[in-house]
Amino acid sequence: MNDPRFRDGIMRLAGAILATFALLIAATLYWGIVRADELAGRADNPRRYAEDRRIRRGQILDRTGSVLAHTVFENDEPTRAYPVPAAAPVVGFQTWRYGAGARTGASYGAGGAEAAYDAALRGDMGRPPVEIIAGRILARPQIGNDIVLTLDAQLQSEAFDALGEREGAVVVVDVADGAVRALVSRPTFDPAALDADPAAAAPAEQPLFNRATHGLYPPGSTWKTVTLAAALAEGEARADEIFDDGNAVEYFEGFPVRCDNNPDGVTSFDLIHAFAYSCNVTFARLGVALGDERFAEWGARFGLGDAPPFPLGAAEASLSRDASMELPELASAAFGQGEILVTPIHMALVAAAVAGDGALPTPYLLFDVPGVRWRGIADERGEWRQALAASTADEVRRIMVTSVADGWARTAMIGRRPGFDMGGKTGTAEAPGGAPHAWFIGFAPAEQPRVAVAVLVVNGGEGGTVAGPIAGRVLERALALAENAQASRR
Amino acid sequence: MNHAGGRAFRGTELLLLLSASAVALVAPAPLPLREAGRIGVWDLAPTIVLIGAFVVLHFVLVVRGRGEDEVIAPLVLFLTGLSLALSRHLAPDLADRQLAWTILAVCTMAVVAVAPFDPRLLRRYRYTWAIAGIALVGLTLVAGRPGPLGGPRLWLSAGGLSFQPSEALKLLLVVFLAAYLSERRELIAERHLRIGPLSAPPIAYLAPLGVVFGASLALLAVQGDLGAALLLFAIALAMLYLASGRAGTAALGMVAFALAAIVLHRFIPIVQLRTALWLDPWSDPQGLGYQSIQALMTVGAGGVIGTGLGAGLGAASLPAVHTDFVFAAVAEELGLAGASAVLAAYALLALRGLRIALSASTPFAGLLAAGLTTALAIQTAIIVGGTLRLIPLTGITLPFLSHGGSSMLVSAVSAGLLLRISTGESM
Repeated sequence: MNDPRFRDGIMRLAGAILATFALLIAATLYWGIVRADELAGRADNPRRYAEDRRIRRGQILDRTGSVLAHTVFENDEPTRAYPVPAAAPVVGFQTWRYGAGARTGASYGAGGAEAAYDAALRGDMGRPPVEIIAGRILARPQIGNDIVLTLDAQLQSEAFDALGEREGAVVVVDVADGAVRALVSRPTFDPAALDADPAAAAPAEQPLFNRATHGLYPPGSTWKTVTLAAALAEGEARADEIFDDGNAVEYFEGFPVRCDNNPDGVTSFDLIHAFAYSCNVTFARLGVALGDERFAEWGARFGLGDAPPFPLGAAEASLSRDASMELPELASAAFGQGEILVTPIHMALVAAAVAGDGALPTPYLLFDVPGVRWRGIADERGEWRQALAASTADEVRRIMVTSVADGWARTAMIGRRPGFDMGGKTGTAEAPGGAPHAWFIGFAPAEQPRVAVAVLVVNGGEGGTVAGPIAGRVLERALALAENAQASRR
Repeated sequence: MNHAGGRAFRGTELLLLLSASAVALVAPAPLPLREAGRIGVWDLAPTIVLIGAFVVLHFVLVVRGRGEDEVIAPLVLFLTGLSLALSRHLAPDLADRQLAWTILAVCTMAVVAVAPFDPRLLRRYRYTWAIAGIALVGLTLVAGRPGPLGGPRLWLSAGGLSFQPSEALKLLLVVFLAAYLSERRELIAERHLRIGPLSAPPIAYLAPLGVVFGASLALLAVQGDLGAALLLFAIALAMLYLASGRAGTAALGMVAFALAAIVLHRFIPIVQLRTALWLDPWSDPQGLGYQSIQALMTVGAGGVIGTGLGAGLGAASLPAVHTDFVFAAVAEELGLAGASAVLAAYALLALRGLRIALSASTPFAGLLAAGLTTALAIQTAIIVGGTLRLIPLTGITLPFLSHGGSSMLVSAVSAGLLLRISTGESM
């Protein structure tokens, strides 16, 4: 048929058909790739459940071998069980039951270590991809790997109990390498109950919100540790330098700063005791002496503007809401108010840095995956940032020890057994519209510290009276557990 | 393309058939491995029988030596081979029956392609075909029964066999339209009505067309078989456009479509329901939106390379997965890669069909080839587009892939006619 009109028509039709099929392929790509995760996460998608039944998920163990999460079968139905409720903020959750969630409209999910180490727990890690795919196609049962966390279940429970029903966080890390020994956030949730009733996870108290890693709070006077380190390192002050700040009200461009924590009648003290008495005036002076640029630089050395590289994620600490730091803001930032915001885990790393060789370690969580050689285990470890010289760190450490011996941080020693010693710093951070946040950072033992801690009680009141005793109790237990572990190894 | 006779070595076809055979043989392998841990001869027997049928077809065409298109048969083998592998998994109880229908379809394709009947009969008895098609569909109004999955009464059965007359109507109307439009194409093209920028052929010439089409569409709309109605309308529009060569015709058709859609939406509850579910299936995921959402989740489970044939969960969770939603199963089990390959196969089939239309011996043959091709392409687009929520979901089959004897048979007749037209035989 040599009709040009017919020919043109056919050509256009061919073009339209090709365009249509290209659109169909694009739509397949959209649902099959772009929206795939969202579809896979829906509670009414039976696939996840079927996959979970095929795979015998590994256990999550603490460093001593205690079980933190494991799978139990009831009537051939797999359910994830969590024997240590205190560990929920780290262990996370893995919901299983198909149908229950479908009716409430909530979706499947996982969080914490259950999500972060899913590949290991499923048994995909260290297995050749071909084997994984073949296993899936042929529906072969798969045994997941157990994983061992750096966490110590007993220490975790101790910290959990020490914090009690109050809102807040406790983080304990090893000074030497940043291994996270305990990480508590309250209020918390029951990971096993999420399975039956996902809606239970979302009351107003936000139990799923991990305050230890993602809660941003003004650090209060615990930040004086950083200002002290900066002033010593920059030569702006010496430890034995005398300050007559005890009665002073100093105005920084009209912004009044008072020194109202020093003992009655003590108006003159050295820098060590300015720290121990937590004198705001002295530290405001040091901040102003450093100037905004150097203050910001030292903030950055201690990780402001960055998030700690924690495997479960952590929020980014910040110095200031905007670029400029006027004098009043600088002066108050130097004693931990201003606009500085940090997470509890971040402050535990600051404590570890001054307790150790001046480096903020990378807080790691995965201790081992028995039977698997995986570079991810080693990748988690290392130094996050070198904040200051080891000699300056040592000087700051000694001042923090004095702060516990002679200063307000002595509250941490109440009820401690003889022979226990430590260093620390209190913080009472003004919080808008409520009681101040109670802080404490510290380490133990005093000489050659092994563990560092940060305690935060949200709207808890005085750092010394509220957070200090928690920190002391947790540090003492941490050392005792470490000694037990050493003894059992011998 | 024209060969006077004698044997013709069909090398391209042989090579492509071998490639398609390889796919067809690999496809059914994972399922027995998964279930029994090994593959037996019987697991591959259906595929071997199918390949055998195509080998016979190939040699018949070689012996006849009329120079039929060499790409169509391998494409059909690729799709039907996949269909057999899928049916073992998606509808194991019906798989043997499906094999029988597929073999019958390949034989029909061969018969239509080479049997010594005069194809001009198609043109001569055009009104007979149209009336027969409408009568068959009309019969379902009286004696129709719901299909195996329930739903509208679209099926006729006798002696244990069921048949879906709307499939036959589609084929018969393409033949009728090709005959009617090729006879009047000069008139339709040149004397037209003008309505503003739109132009339409004179009403007198369009009247019989309208009556036949109105009747079929009305029947289907009354029955609630919207997929078939949409398909028939689209085919008619495409063929009218080809016959007139005027874009205005197509535009006028679109306007008519829009008006019809509004009217249907206003008065027919199932149209309202389908539209609402298309716009928002998420609001009722356990009820009315269930099928559409399950289909999307099935597609979403495929990723790039899929779960592997036989490993998809759509087989268990998606109603009508072996018929209307077979494409979702393809996307899950073969991934974006496999689904794209299948869509590419349909596109290639359409391009070959249009090429055959261009080189056809007569206007009737050209329009017939174009109509059959358009029917296959649009039917694919309607059901795949519905599965992927590009358009409202209407239940029709995916040619050569879906379960169902009527669909397989009618698609095979189309392929056979395309092969026949490609010889250049006078029609």
